Amino acid sequence: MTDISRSTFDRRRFLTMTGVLTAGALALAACGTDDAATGGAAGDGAAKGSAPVETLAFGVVSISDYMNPLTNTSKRVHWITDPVVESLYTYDSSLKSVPLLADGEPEISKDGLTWTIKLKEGVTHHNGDPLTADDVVATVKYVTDPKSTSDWTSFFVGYVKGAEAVDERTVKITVTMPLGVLRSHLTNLPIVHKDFVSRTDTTMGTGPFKIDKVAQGREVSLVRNDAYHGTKPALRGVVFQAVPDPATRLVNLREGKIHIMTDVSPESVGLLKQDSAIKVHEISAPSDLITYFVTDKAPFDDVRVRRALAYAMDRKGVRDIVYGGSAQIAQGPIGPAVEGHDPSIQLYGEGPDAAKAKALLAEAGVASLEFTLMITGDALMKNIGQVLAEGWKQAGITCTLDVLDFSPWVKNWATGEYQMAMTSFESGFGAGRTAFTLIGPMSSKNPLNFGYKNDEVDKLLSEAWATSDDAERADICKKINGILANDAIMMPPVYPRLIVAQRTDITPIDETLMGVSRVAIPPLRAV
Amino acid sequence: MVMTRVLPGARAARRRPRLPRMSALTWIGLVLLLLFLLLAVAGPIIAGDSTVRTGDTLAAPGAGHLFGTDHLQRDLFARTAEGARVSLLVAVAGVGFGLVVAVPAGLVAGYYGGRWPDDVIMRILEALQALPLFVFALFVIGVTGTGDSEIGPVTLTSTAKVVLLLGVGFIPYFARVTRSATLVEVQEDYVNALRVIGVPRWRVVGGEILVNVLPPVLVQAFLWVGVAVFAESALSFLGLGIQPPQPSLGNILGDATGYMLLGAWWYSIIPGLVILAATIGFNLVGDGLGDALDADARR
Repeated sequence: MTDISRSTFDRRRFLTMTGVLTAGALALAACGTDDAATGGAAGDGAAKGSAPVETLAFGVVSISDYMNPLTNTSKRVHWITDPVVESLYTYDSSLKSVPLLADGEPEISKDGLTWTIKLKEGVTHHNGDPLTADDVVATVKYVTDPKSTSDWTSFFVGYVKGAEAVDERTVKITVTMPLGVLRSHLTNLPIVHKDFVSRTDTTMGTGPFKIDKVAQGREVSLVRNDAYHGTKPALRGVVFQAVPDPATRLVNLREGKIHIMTDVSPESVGLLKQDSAIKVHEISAPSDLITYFVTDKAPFDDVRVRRALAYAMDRKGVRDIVYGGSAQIAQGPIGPAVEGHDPSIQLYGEGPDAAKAKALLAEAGVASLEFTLMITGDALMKNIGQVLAEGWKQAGITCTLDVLDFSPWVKNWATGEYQMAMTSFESGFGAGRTAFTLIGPMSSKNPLNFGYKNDEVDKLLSEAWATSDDAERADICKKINGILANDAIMMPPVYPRLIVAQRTDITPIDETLMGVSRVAIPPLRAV
Repeated sequence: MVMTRVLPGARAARRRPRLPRMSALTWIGLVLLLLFLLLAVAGPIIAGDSTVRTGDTLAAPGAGHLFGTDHLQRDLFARTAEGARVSLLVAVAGVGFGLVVAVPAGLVAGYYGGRWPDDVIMRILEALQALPLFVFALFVIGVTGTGDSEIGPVTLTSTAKVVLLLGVGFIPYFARVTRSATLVEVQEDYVNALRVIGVPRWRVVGGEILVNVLPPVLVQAFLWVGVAVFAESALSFLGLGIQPPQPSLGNILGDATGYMLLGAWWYSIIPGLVILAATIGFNLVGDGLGDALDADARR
């Protein structure tokens, strides 16, 4: 028995062998290639050495499984498909909407209910098919169909009655009410080939690049469209790589394995700025932090409770600790990059005002406020959530974080299964510089509004979306922003900036277009 | 009456405290385990609230902050101590839950060895064992989410879910050990004797066999506490376990990964070392206990 037990593979021997194997593995890893050490995210055309860049490598956090810009308005799709598809109108160097696929300005009927748009001649899709009115009609029909469950439906359903082709190059769009903001929507809505509007695996448009290969969720390759109707890009192709870990993304950028890095964490900005081969863009853009309340249930049906939360919010903590001082303290929902921002609003302090919050809670008859803040599981949201919870604790408010994956977060958000919710998104892809995405849900008729009703806000929202005058719409949105801030119904702690880093061996990214969340790739070329 | 005269030298030798005879590895394990337990039990009392901000972002370890601070300006000693406490509690609770289910199952299976109750129990446990813990955890968390889950009138917190996941994952292993030990015990003469004199079956199993099978099962359970600390840390590292702001060794390590490049080595290294100390400590001490038990059985 003793001899047998001695010869068996005991735990002690196992630990010794594990130690030896671990040491061996580490030694092997140390001898491995750079690719292995950094996650092997290098693309085909990644820059190494001093060869001029022909294929741009673009590092993003994640790549959506839905490679169709009509399915949603998120950066996970639009940073990739923006060079592939084009809209009827685009932004010029001053972010003014100018014709792109449209041949001139639209003809709007006197009652404002019909928009007639002529299409530019000689424009072709990537497969050689000419751009026709049928493509525009198919796109508009898709986004006005609630069954498509596209993000774009919130821009079009209920506002746009339909679209029809008058002739091969003329489209007539009919709306249910005067809708001046439609110009913004048409500046952002990509026009997709009519056979591709409901496809989710790929897309086709008229842009300067076409989709070459899609490795779902991992990598998307684009190649230059040599038949492009405008100025042809200098780059031969672009490779979008999903590099979820920010540290790996940063290393890849510094080593030249990617040329552009998005979602730069604020704390690594300083490190990147020390590198002469890297340029960091910190732009005021619609990178919105949004909070939502369910106000048809206690405790947030009482404005005093919401205000107590707003007074006890640690905006300074979020700005300084989470954003390293790069964000701007927020007062209302509309930030500086969006129409309707009002820098004169100074309702709430930078740090938590515990005394004021406690007084308001006492006035509302709430002895101890406990609530759940539903956030997504990304590091940024978790950091913000923890700083806010700590600030509220100073006022005796107990906030429990409910950290969810993105899908269950959206499901709960869309069905009102939360008390307070918070998320961040780039609203510029869908709404441009307008506050449509941001304050649209504050209309009492909006399906995503759970209990907030303010007749004045309803009236002002209708006026804001009706007017064709950008300045007038900005003024109206400014009023709405003031009301919403005072009602503490939307209370972002800060207005974050869009931070993108690039290598200096390519020409600088257009910072003006970053103001509407875009990273314009076609003009980029090797330096 | 016989009086025995005890020599003064012999008396002194008898009184001299003696350290237990253990291997060097067991001693190392014991020291590591005691350090971990000290951190987990006394650390949170000394350090205080682990969510309080210190005003220093990513400060290196020093006199002010023994383990440094994290990216949200919190004291890392307080976070690590609290995380060790949470990880230990979750691990012990998970192992405890596993034992509560596995020991009766193993006893019944072993007592009826080879007959249908044994077959039914063992096939179920084999099915459970075929599913790796992390695949099982991913499936459960994928369905229920990382937050609290309401099952009927019961609300399961994320911590409770981790405890249940670990416990369910451990059941087959504990049950197999219990069954093996029970199979040996039921062959013993005393069991037949108890049956012959008419002692009820439940009393034979619960009162006699259980007592004799518990030592090897508890040694096994002790070893698995180390595995549970590691598994909990891994789940929390992946964002599937303990949720912020409550710290656990795994979620501290998960948060730290992004700051290694910024020079905050302590943020990753210190909680990593604590996990290492706990895992190795529990394993080596458990191994020593097993050896002691074997030696005792041989005697």
